[in-house]
Amino acid sequence: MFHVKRTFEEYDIIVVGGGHAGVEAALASARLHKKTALVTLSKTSIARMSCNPSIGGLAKGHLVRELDVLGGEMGRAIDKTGIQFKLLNRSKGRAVWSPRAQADKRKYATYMQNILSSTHTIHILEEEAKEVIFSGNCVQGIILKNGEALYGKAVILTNGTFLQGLIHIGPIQIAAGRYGELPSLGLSDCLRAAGFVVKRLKTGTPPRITRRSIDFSRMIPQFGDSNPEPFSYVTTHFEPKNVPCYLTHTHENTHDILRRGLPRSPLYNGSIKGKGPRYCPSIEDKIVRFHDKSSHQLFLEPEWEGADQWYVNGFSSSLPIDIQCKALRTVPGLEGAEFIKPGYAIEYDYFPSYQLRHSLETKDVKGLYFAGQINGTSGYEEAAVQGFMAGVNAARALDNQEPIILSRSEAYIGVLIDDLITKETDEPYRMFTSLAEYRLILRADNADHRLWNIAQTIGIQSLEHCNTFKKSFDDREMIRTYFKHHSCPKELFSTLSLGHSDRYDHLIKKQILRQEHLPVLHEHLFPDFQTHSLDQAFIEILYEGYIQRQRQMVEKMRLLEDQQIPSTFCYDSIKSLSNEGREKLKKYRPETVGQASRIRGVSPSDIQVLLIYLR
Amino acid sequence: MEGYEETIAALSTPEGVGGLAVVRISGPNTLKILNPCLTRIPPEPFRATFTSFLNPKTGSFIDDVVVTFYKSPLSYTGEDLAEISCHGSRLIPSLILEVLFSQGARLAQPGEFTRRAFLHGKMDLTQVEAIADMIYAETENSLKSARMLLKGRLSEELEKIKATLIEAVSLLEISLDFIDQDIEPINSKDVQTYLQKGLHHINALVSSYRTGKILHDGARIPIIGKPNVGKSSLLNAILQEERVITSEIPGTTRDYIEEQVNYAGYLLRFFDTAGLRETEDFIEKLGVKKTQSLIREADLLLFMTEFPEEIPELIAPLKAQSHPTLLILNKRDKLSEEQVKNALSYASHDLPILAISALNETHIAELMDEILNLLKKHYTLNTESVMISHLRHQTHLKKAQKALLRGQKAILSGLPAEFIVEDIREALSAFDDITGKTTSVEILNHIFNQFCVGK
Repeated sequence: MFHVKRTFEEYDIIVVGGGHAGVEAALASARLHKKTALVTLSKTSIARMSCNPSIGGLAKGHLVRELDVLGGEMGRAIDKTGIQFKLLNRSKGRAVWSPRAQADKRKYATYMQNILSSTHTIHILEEEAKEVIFSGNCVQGIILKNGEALYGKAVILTNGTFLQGLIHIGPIQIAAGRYGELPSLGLSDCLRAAGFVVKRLKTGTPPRITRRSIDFSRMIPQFGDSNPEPFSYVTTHFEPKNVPCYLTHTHENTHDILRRGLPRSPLYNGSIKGKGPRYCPSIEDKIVRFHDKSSHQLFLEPEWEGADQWYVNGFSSSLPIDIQCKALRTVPGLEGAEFIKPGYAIEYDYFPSYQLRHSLETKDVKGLYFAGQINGTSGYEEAAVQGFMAGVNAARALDNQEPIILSRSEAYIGVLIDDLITKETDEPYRMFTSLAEYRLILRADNADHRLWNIAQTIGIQSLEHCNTFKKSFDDREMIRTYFKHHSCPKELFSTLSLGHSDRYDHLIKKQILRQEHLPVLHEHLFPDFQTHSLDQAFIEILYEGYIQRQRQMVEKMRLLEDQQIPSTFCYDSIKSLSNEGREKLKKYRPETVGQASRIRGVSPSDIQVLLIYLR
Repeated sequence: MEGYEETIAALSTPEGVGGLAVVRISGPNTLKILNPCLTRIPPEPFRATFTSFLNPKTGSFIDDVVVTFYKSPLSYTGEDLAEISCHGSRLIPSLILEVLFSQGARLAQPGEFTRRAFLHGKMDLTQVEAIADMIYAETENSLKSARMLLKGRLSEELEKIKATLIEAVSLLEISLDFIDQDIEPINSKDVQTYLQKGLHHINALVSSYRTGKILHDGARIPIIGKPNVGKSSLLNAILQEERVITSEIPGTTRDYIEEQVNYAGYLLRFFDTAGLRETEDFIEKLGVKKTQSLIREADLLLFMTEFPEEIPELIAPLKAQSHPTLLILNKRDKLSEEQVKNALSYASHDLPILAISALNETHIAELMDEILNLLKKHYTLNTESVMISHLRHQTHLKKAQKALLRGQKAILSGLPAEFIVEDIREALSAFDDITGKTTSVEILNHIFNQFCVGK
């Protein structure tokens, strides 16, 4: 037992962890005028990017845009500190275009640290949380390593990979939260004792090597877009650098060396128990599972501008250092590679998310919230949006306000949280566009139009910006209506040198009027509106049929989504549920029939039965 | 809220006099209610036990019965259930039920046994529909197609198609979500191949609706021809009983008359139509109009004439129309051998000709066999292959078909992959509607309302 010293300071909200989830949680809480404590093992590692030096990417870019509209910090931070920006998937349709940026890890962390320290309602404590203090089924605060109790009305845990973190490099095992950082021990035992289910996951990271040891002349440089787009809707004066990454590849020699090291791989000799992400396999996993592939891509990415430390994207590994080194040195341009840090795998504790409500509050302990990697996700963006939502909802709960729960048809954030809670995953969860059934309406380019009203309800985003978003949305609707009722005048038509004239919406659907004509239309018809509004009206018309069908699907599902299930609902009293269905429903305790319908093992018959009983 | 605590009972066989009647009882108190009524308690489940059925309150004997007890969950409803086979009179089953009610059971509502089975997860929606079909099955073959559905063959086939479509979606999703990893770009031809394969099976199912409908509802066979050519006589000959008034005056059959015949396990529905000719008679005109809609919905046409010299000029127009047709030369008893032989020489593979005498009932068996041949030939009435016989299935499959055709068009017109995915996903959700994943309570109620008491 700790000797508990009383401290008199009491916080509204205590955030444990200073990663991407913790930072957004603390900022959201403080910006909603809550007295906030941020407990972190080390102030200098706040907002550190532990893995790849980039933000965004497929579907993750969508998350950052949504977070930005709602009032999160990540988008603004990367716009200020990014060193290369690219819109991915440009050859595909608009719904899957996704912004991505190379980050300057140091500047990014510094930016966030400055924002935090300039927010007066946040108190940063360099400490380790050892225990959670419960009182009945409510949280009361935490006990720190020094034995002091820190009292708070709500506690948000964002411990990332630190809970019982265990690094594997070949046969070597090191208790650590990140390379060179101490793990957080004890906290998960305390929660386990309180009845929480704790499981293990695994993730990994590639080696970092010195700049001088890389022969860039043997690699292909990869630049970002020459006309880059910012993440944030509120970023102005955006003129980022365009620092290249470099592309090279492994070959059979590399694979032979790796293969010889397999017996010493903790992944294959059974030392690692947690399951890793299939979408981000280690290099040894790639050569085993795709053994007929003779070459794999590797991207060399600078960790900051002018960095001496480079990230070898695609070479994540937990093989012994000598094998990693030898194998990497067979790669063109990396013959003289000098390691700063080896690649490693890390196992950590997480809490399967069916233990959470959609507000991210735990189902059993009032005031206790989980966000980020401890919920089984991977990625900075996934962590950040959860941290933000937990911060917002913890603050709202203290004000006796309903939690903000984004639906699957409103935002990727909604899809992410709903998936976490209703779908049991045994590998780290990463956002994909294919997980969003309403993908066509959840675009990265219309986050402002989708979420301005929710941003307003939350109250973190400035009123001025909310109004801008709203106006932009109203303008889009106005332009759309205009296009449906007006024909393109002859003069304008000849300016565009097109065939015969017609109503605008017809011309757009027949793809006679195309994206490249928008600047001329803008100038002639709507010079006072944002080009963004015109662009959005154009997309809505071009894909109208598909978009409408998707909106109809949303309506069809609404019946199920709106049907609440009381938290006291007794599934045992319904004999007609299938056994598997009943067990799953008891375990997941869904809040609506819509959520129940997405739980694996709950059959359509079970849903019908529920509907009959709830009617 | 419905109480499944209640134990329900009902007569499961048709009311009236028969060799046997079966009373069913289902629910948690089945044994508690039933056992006091029996002189021999079934020693174990799933075994038929011969026993007397008594009124436990008075001790009076009601009937000798065979009782089979099915223990939950291995019963039709998934609950404890017993079947009591008694003698098939109007009185005995009702006495048995009366006793069961006095012991605490209540009368089952229409379809309640099946509803409970569904709610206990014993069957999916297509299977529920199959039960409804079995109950209404008019002939052996429609029973067969219903049983097949019950076994889940349709569900199986749908799962197969679903798997194909999921393959196609996966290919596309890979191209959208994994561009940052070096995976070979997908070939839109592969997606097309999957879509084609899926469509092929869906098309087969959609067109099997006709076959399914023939097996399920019977083949619609109008008899057409000029007035007084002997259509009603033919119908009489087929029915082998005088049900249709025949007369020498043209136009007696003003509307049409339908008669159903169970022939070789198939249900044949003959329609005696009004004569095909222009007429001034208003009522007759209506009759003729109805004839036209009958022809439109026909599965097979019987075209009748009594004049062998008309045959050469009938061949071309009959071949030109889309229905399988059998040309019948009636009143062969009034014709010479030579005339008949000459007329039959015009017969061909796609337009067979038969000479009969409706009045004398000659060559009628030959005619019936030919009708069956033609039906089998045109509708591949293979009861072993999977087919659909429900409009609901047809509607959803057509929805899937439409979505996939749109997807194919989207590929050809170069729409981005996520739109093609959308179309395939829509097709997939149409499948869910058949197997019951997203059905609303309304559809359920509609299905359950089709059941009579006892099943």
